[in-house]
Amino acid sequence: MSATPTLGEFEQVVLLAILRLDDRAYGVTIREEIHARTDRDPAPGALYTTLDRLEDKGLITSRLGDPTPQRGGRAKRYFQVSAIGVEAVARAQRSYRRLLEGLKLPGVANA
Amino acid sequence: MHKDRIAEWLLSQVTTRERAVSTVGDLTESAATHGAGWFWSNVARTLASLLWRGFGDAPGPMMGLALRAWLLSLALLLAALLCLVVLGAFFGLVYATLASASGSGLGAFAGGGVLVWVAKAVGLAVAVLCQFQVGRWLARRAPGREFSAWLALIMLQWIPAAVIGMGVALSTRNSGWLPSPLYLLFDLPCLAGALWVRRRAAR
Repeated sequence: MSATPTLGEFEQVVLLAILRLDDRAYGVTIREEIHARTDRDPAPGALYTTLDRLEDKGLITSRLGDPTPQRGGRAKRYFQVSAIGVEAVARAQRSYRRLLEGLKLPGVANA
Repeated sequence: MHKDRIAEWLLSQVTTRERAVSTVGDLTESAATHGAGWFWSNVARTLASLLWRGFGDAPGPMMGLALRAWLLSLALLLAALLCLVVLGAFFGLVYATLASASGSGLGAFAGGGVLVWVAKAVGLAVAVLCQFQVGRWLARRAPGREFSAWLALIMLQWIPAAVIGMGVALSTRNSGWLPSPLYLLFDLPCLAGALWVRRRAAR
């Protein structure tokens, strides 16, 4: 089997949000992006735990930006999806697509 | 400003300093529209979430470590108790010899209960020191997850005690069997030991 780590549903959501935000992905914008795209309002606790876990697994990397006054002089931590992270999310999405292939969900168009 | 530093300190106990600082920065930025209540509520939830992550990612090894720490704690306390008994017997013998040699002078000293209080204070100090050492031992084996390891030890010690105490209390209808939350104070030196190691490692 492949060494690419398997992903939980929320981990996929977070990775996709980071990919969408490109180089603007930090805690606040990731939460906003998830809310805008999925109508979910993830708790910061859940988000930071997931970000820490993804970084520890090597699926994302982070770098510190410049400190800003509205954050009390604290730097933003910007995230980027690593090559392993891209592979993991692509693999998870492929699995979903294969599962959906030829499946007609009652009451859902173009499933 | 002061509240941010407290939040940073709290979060830095369960994650790296760098992550704690940026997380507090994010929460400060969002709190500008949500308010101070939102800020503290989310600091607490993030803290709980990160604390649980340290345990939940590897509950088996963490409980195994807690079990070893608990056994170490028992062994240390037993060894300390044995030393205290030997020392107590030695000093008791010396005291008895001196008392019989000098008459009633030393007897009045003992009657004041000073010796009993000294023995209690020494016993307490030794117990605190043992727990502190257990905390240090635990932290060295769970780098980055010191707080979670301590939490696992608390669960290992108190969940069975609470369940057994509750069962006995219900069957005997005597609430005196319930473990007092005050006994949790006994685990604070262990936490102090764990945090001491974490702080030194972070330097």
